[in-house]
Amino acid sequence: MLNGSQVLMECLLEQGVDTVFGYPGGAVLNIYDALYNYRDRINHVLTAHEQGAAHAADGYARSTGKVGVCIATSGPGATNLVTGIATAYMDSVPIVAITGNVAVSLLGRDSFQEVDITGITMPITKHNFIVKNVKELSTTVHEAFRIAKSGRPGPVLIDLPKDVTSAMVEYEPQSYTGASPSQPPKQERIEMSLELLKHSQRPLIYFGGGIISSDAGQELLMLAEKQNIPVCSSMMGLGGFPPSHRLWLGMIGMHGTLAANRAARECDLLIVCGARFSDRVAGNRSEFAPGADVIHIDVDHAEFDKNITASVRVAGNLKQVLKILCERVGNSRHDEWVDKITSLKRVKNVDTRNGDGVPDPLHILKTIRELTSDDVIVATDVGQHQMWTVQHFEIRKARSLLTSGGLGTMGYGLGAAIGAQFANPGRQVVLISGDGSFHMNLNELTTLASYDLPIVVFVMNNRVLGMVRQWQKVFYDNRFSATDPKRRTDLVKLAEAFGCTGMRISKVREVEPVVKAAFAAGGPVIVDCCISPDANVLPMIPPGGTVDEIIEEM
Amino acid sequence: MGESKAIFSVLAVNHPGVLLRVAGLFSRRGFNIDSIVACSTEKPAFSRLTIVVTGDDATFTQLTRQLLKLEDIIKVKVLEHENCSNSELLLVKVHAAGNKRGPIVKMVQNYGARILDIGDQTITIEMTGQTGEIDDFVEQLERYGILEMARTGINALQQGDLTIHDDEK
Repeated sequence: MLNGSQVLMECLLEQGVDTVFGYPGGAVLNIYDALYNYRDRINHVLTAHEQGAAHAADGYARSTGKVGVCIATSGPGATNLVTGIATAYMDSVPIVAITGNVAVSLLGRDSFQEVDITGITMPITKHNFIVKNVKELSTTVHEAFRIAKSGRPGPVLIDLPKDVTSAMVEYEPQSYTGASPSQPPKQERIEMSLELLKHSQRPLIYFGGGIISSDAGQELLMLAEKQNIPVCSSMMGLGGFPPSHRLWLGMIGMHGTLAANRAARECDLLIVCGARFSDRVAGNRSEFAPGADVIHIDVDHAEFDKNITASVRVAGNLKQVLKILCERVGNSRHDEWVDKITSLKRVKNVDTRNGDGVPDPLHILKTIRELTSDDVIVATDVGQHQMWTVQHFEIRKARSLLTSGGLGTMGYGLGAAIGAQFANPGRQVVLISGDGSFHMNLNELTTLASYDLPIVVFVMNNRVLGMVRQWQKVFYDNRFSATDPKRRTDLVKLAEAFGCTGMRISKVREVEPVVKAAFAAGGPVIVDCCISPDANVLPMIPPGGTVDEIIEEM
Repeated sequence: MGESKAIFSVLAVNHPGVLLRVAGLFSRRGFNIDSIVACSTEKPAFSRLTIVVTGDDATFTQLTRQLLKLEDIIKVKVLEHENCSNSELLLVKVHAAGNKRGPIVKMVQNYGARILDIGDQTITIEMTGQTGEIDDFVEQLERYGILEMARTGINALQQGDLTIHDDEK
């Protein structure tokens, strides 16, 4: 006989879980008591706040492809997970969130620290459960993992009333249950796709996070090369295609490249792989790829025709579909088209001649890139620094970029970096943040120090809420409402107060030596990068606009 | 694209919260529910929801795909008004004092409705039928003064020998 908490541990082990992120509390005391017994097999990472635990589980999952796990107590513990779960939901990240709740007999009575977390998380999970009978616990846990990683991945929540975690039950070990296999693509859809490919003069591949989650980068590269098709991606796709490749156009959308956005405007065939035409990609849906047939390949049927109507819909696992297409297509050239579109690629040069000048964020980013290997994992928060990073860092490997795309969660990065570092102890993890985002969840610096994680945090500190301020500049006539908070935080002292190392870059000549010193330091380092409040993110297509309205200078 | 009404027949796992999941999906995706009926079925493991929706064809397709993404949903069938058996139940309490009573009873007979209860001043009537017939009946009753009414919304099954269990998900 085992109690519910021990059953939970056994199920986690059967699912191959060796690390969980969480925060204890009254309703999960039994679970934490079991964790104490299983501490040699399950490493529990204590964060400063449950939101950090949820983002850590997310970072763990994004950087490995495995399911991330977080644990929180009932009531406020559970609600603190909500932003993290919603972040994972919007970016299709597989996590299992386990929350405690009050005993079954106390449910529905507004008991202390009681909250209806299954009700609250219904719209932001793939599915959720409340287990009221310990006999259903093990099947529920395995089902949760199956749902989280099957098809289009996503978060699943399991709510466990306290008495269920202590109730005794006969436990029989179960064999590992994997993800449900996707249906093979329909033959007729493959034929229709091949027919469109054969006749296209100006094809373009636009891919998204689906390429990363289905590990289909090799197949994508093969298709692009065999057919000589230029390639662009959404932010979620970055790392799925080599950024130095001649066919690579860069990111598409609001802050995407001129080449990618122009290609979408002019192509006659758009091959969409695991992407969803978000409003940050297709700002103006009726003007997006206006002259193109669309082949939409996705594992999630509900993405078809949701935002853009496709000519051919291929439902299935991307890796499998692309493999079939690669085997069937002949070699093709669209040299004139490729030359024309790739000639629009721009390299942004940074002026570093004045050593006493204010450092340019792009200069700092390029220096970090030069001083790290292809193996580096880059986490970001949300805002200008995020756009500069995805535009200029040139992510070189899949699962190496951790960034909140769909939800746009400021404060995501530090937790995500922690999760990624535990999942990848041998790799350098870097967080690029901004002072706005960093102030939201900097409490997790204490986690960096407690576990002595060698994460280097670069805070692009312009002392304003830069992205919103940029919009106020462009669209609100320089009326800077609530974007100049006049904070006086000394980030170097702050780092030291938390037990980390603090450094500062305030001049161009300090960029390289300080970045080098930060990586040499070994433990957690926070680098305060003092940049100009007027550095902008460009190019920019206004919301609802098209590439014809692209702003390249301001 | 023209707006029309469609009847969604949805087979779901009989879990608590299924109705909330479905209603929540409609609300957050901006689909309009005209009526929704949820009930257990001949198989205790399943429940069935009959949902009437106003929209265009693209909405109906998207709605079907979104419903099928819910873990608890087993099958979704969109029924056409013309080729399904559909019916709705009305309960209505009308003012029926003195000489009004005779004409009301006559109308009840004409429409194939049924009197459930007679009070001092009122009659409570039950009617089942297609939505249009019920609308007509209600309109006729309005002149006597409707005090309160409750309608179930449409319930429907496919015509012919096919059932929801026969089709592919």
